[in-house]
Amino acid sequence: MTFAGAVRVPDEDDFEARRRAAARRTGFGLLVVALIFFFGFIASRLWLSPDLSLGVIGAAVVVFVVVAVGRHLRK
Amino acid sequence: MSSITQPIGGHADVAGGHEHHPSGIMRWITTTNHKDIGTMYLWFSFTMFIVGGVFALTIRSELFEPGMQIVTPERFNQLITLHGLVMIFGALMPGAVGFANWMIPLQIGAPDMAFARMNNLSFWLLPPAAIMLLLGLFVPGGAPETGWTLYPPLSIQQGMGMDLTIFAIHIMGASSIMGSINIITTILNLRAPGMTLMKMPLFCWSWLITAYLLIAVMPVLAGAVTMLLTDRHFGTSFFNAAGGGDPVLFQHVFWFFGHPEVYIIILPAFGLISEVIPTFSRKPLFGYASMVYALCAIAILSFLVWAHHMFTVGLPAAGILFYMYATMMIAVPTGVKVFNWLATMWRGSITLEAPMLFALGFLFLFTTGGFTGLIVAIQPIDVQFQDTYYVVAHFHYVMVAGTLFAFFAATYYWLPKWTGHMYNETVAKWHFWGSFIFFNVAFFPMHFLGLAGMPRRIPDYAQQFTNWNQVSTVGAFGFGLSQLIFLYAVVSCIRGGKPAPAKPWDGATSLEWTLPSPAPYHSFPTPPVVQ
Repeated sequence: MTFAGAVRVPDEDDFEARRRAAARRTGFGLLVVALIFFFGFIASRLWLSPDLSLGVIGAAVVVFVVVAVGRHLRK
Repeated sequence: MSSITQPIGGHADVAGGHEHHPSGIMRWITTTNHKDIGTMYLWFSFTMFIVGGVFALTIRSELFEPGMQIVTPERFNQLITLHGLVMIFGALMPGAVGFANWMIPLQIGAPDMAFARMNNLSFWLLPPAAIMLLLGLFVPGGAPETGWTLYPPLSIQQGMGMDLTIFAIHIMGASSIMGSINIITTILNLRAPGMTLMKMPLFCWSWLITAYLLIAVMPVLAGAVTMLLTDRHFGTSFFNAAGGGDPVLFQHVFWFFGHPEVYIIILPAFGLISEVIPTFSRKPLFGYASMVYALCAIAILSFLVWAHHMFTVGLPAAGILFYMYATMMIAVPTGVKVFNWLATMWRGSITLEAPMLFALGFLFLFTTGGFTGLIVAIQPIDVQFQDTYYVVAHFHYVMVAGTLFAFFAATYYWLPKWTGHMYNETVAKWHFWGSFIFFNVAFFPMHFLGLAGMPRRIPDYAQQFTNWNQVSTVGAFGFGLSQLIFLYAVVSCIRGGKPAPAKPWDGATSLEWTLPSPAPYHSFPTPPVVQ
């Protein structure tokens, strides 16, 4: 039972749950990136101008690495 | 980098009374423990290193004299392909992942990897993939004869062995991606309180960046070999010139993966060396922040230089100039790293135990390989050296003396922590000197052979190349036999020896040394606090 105005003190289980949720989010995000690169790369040969779309997916790969690595340097 | 730690509760080694674990074969099949999985990765890597080494020695035996002695030309080409694939995907990459599994949770104060079950799956995908890769030798037509680059049109024309290779690459790629997701997630989410990214040991940094590289390029390789597969069996013409496809496109795509792959293999080695040198110099790493920035710069530049592998294919002049200068630019951050390692040693209280010997061997030989890399980065020279033994010498100085020596250094460095015993220093030094001397005997003459114009990937050669080929073969066998000393050193350390203290190296500072030796099965159930 929770009383109005009561503040729930975060315990260790909360911390663990938050940490697990954060880990799932990170892992899922990275999996999506890998899948986009895999299917995007194959699809790039089939859509529009193949050279252009291949360039786009190649640039996306490079930008991903620059952003992913670069943002950690600020911490 | 801060390394003074104060565990919550005052005991870094509190295991919460959970030391029990399954025993027997089921322990290894079902384990989700990062130490068990790390151990399996390392043994798998060593096994594949032996398999790839046997292929290499067969190749060297064939090249001992001109003419055909031991294998057919077709089998020779198959061994060349499998040697490359086994060493890269079976030995070096899993070896690096093994060190990551063992040490990253210990170095950042995490209880385990973030996705422990996926960690188990990542490892257990590897043995079937390796079997599939090697099975190519026994199917009609044999293994691919394309070299590890799998260039079409030859790869489109090969037999069933090529399909097995493609599937093996898919599976190993999936394993690598899962491993990378796990490593990034662990580092970003499970660090101990107070362990900011810029306080992490450099080995963890090197793996964080490597894991991003893997997630970026493994899907590209997987996509390329999938397209190769559909060209072979489903009537597409991505790379098949007969159907309007572009075989050169495959080369671009392959090296878009392949050049970052070189750094995927060498960056963890940089991280390992950055742990060993400060410890045995008894000084903090010189220029920690610049080392991190250099790692990042190398990783990003590695995506901008792939076409230097294709200088002889035919590129526009502007393209040649761009790739030439971009390749030379990589020498800058790499030079920063070498400078910082030397500066760390400068006026340090250096002792030459086996890990430090291997680190020094790495420094000397990797730098040699780096210099020859700068030479072949110059396009007019590369045109002369393309597909000669000079290139073989260059990349073996980087891959073997670079990555493998770093792995040996790290193994001796952490063996006391892993096994609870000190290794035999005399045996380890024999291993170092055997490896160092015979490595140079095997690979240095290849520079001369390449300069004289001996092409690579051929089973027979002109008479004038005989002498240096014989020297090289003797060196290769000596190097191979030296690895048996390594096996003896590791096995005898596992079986017994002088008990290791929690911190056997007085210059060591990172978190893993706050744990007892051997490290408890479950470590850091409560996170330590990093001050």
